[in-house]
Amino acid sequence: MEDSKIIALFYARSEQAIAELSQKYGAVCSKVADNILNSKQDAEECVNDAYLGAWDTIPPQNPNPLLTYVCRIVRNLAIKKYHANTAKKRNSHYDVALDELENCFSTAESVEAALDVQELTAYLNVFLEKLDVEKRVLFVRRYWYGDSVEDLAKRFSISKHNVTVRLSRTREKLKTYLAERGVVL
Amino acid sequence: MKKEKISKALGNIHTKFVEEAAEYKGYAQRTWRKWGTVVASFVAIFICLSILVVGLGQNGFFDKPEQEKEKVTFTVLVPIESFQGLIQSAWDNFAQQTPELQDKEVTLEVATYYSYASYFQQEGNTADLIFTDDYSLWELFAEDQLVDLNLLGANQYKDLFSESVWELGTADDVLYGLPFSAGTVLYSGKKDVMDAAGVALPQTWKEMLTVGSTLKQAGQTHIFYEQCYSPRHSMGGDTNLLLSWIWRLGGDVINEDGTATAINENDALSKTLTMFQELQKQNLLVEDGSDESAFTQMYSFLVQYYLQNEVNQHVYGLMPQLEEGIPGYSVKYGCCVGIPKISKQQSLAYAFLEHLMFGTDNTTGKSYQIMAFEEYGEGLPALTSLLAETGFSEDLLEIYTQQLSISKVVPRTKAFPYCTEILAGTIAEVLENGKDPAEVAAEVEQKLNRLLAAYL
Repeated sequence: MEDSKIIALFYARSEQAIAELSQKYGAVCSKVADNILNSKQDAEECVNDAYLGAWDTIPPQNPNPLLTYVCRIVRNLAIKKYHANTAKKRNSHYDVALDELENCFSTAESVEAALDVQELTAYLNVFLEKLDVEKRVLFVRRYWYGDSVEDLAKRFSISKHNVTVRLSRTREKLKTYLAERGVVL
Repeated sequence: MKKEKISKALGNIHTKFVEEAAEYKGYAQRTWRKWGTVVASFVAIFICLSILVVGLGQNGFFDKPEQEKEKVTFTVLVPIESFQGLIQSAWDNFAQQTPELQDKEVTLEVATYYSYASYFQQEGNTADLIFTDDYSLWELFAEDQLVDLNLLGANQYKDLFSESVWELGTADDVLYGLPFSAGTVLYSGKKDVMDAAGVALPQTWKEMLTVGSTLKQAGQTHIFYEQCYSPRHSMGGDTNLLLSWIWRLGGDVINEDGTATAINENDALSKTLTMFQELQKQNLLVEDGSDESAFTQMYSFLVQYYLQNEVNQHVYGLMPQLEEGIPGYSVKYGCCVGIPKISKQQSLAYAFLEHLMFGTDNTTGKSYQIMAFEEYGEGLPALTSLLAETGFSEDLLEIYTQQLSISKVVPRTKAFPYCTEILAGTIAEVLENGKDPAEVAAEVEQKLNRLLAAYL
């Protein structure tokens, strides 16, 4: 079913909207949540909460594209749950991805020197804008969607080694970019 | 902590990157690249053949067809019809003076919308220039739909305007619109209430702070009225009206620094929703495209309702923050002109914008309203003294229909859109789904918290 028809169902407050949303984007949403949480059960719970979030916000929202909108809700909820779970387990793709990325950021010597989240996002946006499409997509799929190296190799039709090398080069670029601007966390 | 920050920052990256990554088909693109090379070779051969054919044509082998003029449609969105004549005459002048447009067939379309939100949501709609009041501007800014005019060189005009006026179109150091008109907010006070508190209607911003503070301490009331567009649209219309009435009824929906939202007075919300139901029953809700008489009728009803129900028991909680120059919402009323990102001819739009603002007889780029605003300096509008003479009477109707904006001072923060989203949904539940206002009011805070938890 087209996105606009699904949204029309939301606007009509028909519960069929959730069913259609789940049928069309359920798999992608579950994948995003599972990448972060590494637990089918937690991921399912998270996706269901995201559907509820969509139900509560459409209307008045009329998201276009719908997929990104729902994925963002899923990711936010999954990250929240992830941080709550972090003390207990550390074995998701997302954990590994965050470990990789952490090295790009120097540590601030004082709290005052540390950037806030908004500023950091602004730097990331500028950095991403400068990357070519393929490198950018690879980066976003790995660190936003939490895709595994294997998934990325399949998606880009390249070897796992190639994925690792490309990501590593992009991280190096990011590290240099942030260092040049004195970005510390 | 560090990881959490990185994770949050990543989560907020621009939607276009997330969307791009969702849609990216690696394999298909690589395949396409391969076939693309083949196709490109054919295209190159085709171009060579075309050049040959054109060459033959020029040598008399073929008759050269008469070249058709390129068609250009330039679309301007305006909030009120009275702008149309002004824009048309500026455009005629601009088209004559612009050599690039001489060999084109140019059509100017000026469309009037009371709320731009629905226009931007419809697929296929486009716009090259957009006149906005500061509320619509903010709405479009929040949606990242406007071009930063600084990037096109508009910051060179900054010194022509007072800082206060320039701020109308600026947010986060980005210039979303050039100020086209400006005025101070309309402040209305109920004379008997002010007399009882021993204060006169303030004439300057400084006096306004003192008066507000005195009224607040005395537990007295005064009234603020907010401009509203179509009360059937989420961001620009009914929510404005709803907020205004909740405040007037003593409720509050957003904290003082604009960082969090919560309905602190469900009864006020419930009463406001009931008032909306009454508007609906009497068929007085203003739809997009309605003429100004529809607004007059609605305002007439509101004033009567206002008086009959004595709903003016409200002390303006943010009064101490009301001062000139605060980067807040609707501290002053103004209209700005911006260029939407969906415009496919942004250079042309900017050239016309410069002509409109600085290339006509009015070479200062200032409308008479801006000049008047600057002349008043810190003074409040003359309309305030009109109110002082009339007390609170139906003379207000005349003022209400002049599209002046009165609003609560709320910093532009993340919390505001969430608040308005929820309130818009609230109105829809009552008006379109027939739910009981009291029941809906009870659910709102829960919804606000859930939404905030999911997004912030």
